[in-house]
Amino acid sequence: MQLLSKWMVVGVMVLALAGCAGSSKKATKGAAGGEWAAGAGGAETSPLAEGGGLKGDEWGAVQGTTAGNSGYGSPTDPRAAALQSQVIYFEYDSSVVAPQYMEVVRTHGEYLKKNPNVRANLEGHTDERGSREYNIALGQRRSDAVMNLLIAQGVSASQLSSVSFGEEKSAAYGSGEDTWSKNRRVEVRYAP
Amino acid sequence: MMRVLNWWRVCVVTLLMATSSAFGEPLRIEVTEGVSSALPVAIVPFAGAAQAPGTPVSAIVNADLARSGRFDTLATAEMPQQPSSLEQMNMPAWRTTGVNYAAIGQVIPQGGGSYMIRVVLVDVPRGQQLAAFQVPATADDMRSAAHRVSDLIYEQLLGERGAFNTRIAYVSVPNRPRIGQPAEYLLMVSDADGENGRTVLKSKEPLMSPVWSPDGRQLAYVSFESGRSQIFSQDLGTGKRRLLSSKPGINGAPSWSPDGRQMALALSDGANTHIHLLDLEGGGLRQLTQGAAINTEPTWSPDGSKLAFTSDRGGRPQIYELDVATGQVRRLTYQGNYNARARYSPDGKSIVFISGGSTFRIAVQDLQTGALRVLSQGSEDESPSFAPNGAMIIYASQYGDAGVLSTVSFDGKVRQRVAGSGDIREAAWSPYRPR
Repeated sequence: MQLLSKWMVVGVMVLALAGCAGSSKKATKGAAGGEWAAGAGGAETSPLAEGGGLKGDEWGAVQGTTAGNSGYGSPTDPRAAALQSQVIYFEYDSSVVAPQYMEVVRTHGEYLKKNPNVRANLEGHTDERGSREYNIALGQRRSDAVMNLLIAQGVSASQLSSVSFGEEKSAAYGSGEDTWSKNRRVEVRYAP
Repeated sequence: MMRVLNWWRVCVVTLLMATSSAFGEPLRIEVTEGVSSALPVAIVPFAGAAQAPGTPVSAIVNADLARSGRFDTLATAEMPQQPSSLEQMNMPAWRTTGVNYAAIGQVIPQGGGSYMIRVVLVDVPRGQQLAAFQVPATADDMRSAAHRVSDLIYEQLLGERGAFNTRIAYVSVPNRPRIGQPAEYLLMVSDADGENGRTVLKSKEPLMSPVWSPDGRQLAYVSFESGRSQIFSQDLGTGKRRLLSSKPGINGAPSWSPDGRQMALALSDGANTHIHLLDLEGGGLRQLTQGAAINTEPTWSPDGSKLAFTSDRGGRPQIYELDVATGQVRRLTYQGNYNARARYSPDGKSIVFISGGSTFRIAVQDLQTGALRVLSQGSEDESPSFAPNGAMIIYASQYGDAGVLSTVSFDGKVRQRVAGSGDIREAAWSPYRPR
């Protein structure tokens, strides 16, 4: 009876696979256009009632994108560009900057103090585990922790901003500690 | 033969992910587990259905009822005949199939692109009509009309309200971001069976936390389109958006009050995050939590008197409940060291949430007894959302490298995967459509 049941399952799988392979995908009415609004992060809406076509003129309150991203991450100074690869990593569920990353923070801080016209955006991230909005808050703690250290080092607060992307912008994909450890981070991104 | 198939009804279906990644791909419902005590029924192909524009009404009804896990639907090939009226039925032949009920019907053109779907539910052992109903349809809303038929059959046979004619909103990331290729985040709305997917928002920056307004006409969500989090509401009929919250720091986790007049949300202040209430008419903002902690993911109880929320005020994330009138807070979860992202059941008696530690699973807790039931089996399950009849929960889980949606019945016995292309996350189940 055990053997029979195994073959029944295999038989059902084969039938199901055959069935799946034969099924057709229905075309959906996705966004018709594909033109991005000008600016760093264009967002386009589509009135549901009209069958999904994009109508860029009917945004109502949307003013188009702000320059909120202000070109962070594309610095003209090659030193700043090089500094961006110096990332601060964190332990699970922690926003404490570990001793081995204090040198990284100091390096960023020295550069910012020497270049008071340069602005930096501190971007906090988490690994994928747990709830997304809690991870937004955890990422914010991380970016704020780095910001506070920089200010304590003598960097002017007006040079700094901090944002959290939680788990939404992974640096590495997959699961397991190898991937997760690469995502628990604060990146320092410089504006020109 | 029917009885044997019933007994061995553990249906293992391999997930076939689409290799192409056109955004707006429909979701496919695939059964991963079934229940042998489901009610045997036959949904007979409706007469005249070929005249209705390309939409197989009875096939949709069959798929709905099968997906709920409460029905064992007879394959068309097993049907002794395909009658469209009671008089045409050969009862002795039908009784050999073992079905308790058969649904027979017709799709009748009324002219001008409208149709009438007429259905008769037959009690097969008794050989008599149990119920009859008709659902008007047009060429454009045939799928919706079919889901209404499913709801009527579900209600007639189970005595519970059906939720097939509902929608889901979800975030889809069709392509994993690669160097030199911009990321793309889509906010989609589809029928609850995954069909008729429409993109309602497209962005190069993350979209999160979609929630429905109580009347089902709007979505609110978090968008990073300006480089940081902001909360928008969007009218699904017109596409018009309204920026609701753009404070410095976090603007997150919106939740519409049941009367539609307030939005609970999370705002940060330095290292702490707090629940606030935004008056949607007057714009006033009221802070509800205090202290050094992360407090986020507020969600309204169905009677509008309480907010459940996630807080790490005790060290790790747990779920608490706030009385909106008095401000009193009590802790709800005590099992496990990570509990977050609660949603109340429509009857207000339970919460569903993410329960974790080393793995993260969907769990339901009875608010009166504290009894806990784990419903899912993945390692990173998240974003649970109740169907408006409380009978099923949709949630996001990992399958291979991508996020997929799954539904599970409230008792945890029936689970189905909802497949699609790309990385799908964060579904929110709509309210009922107005009757």
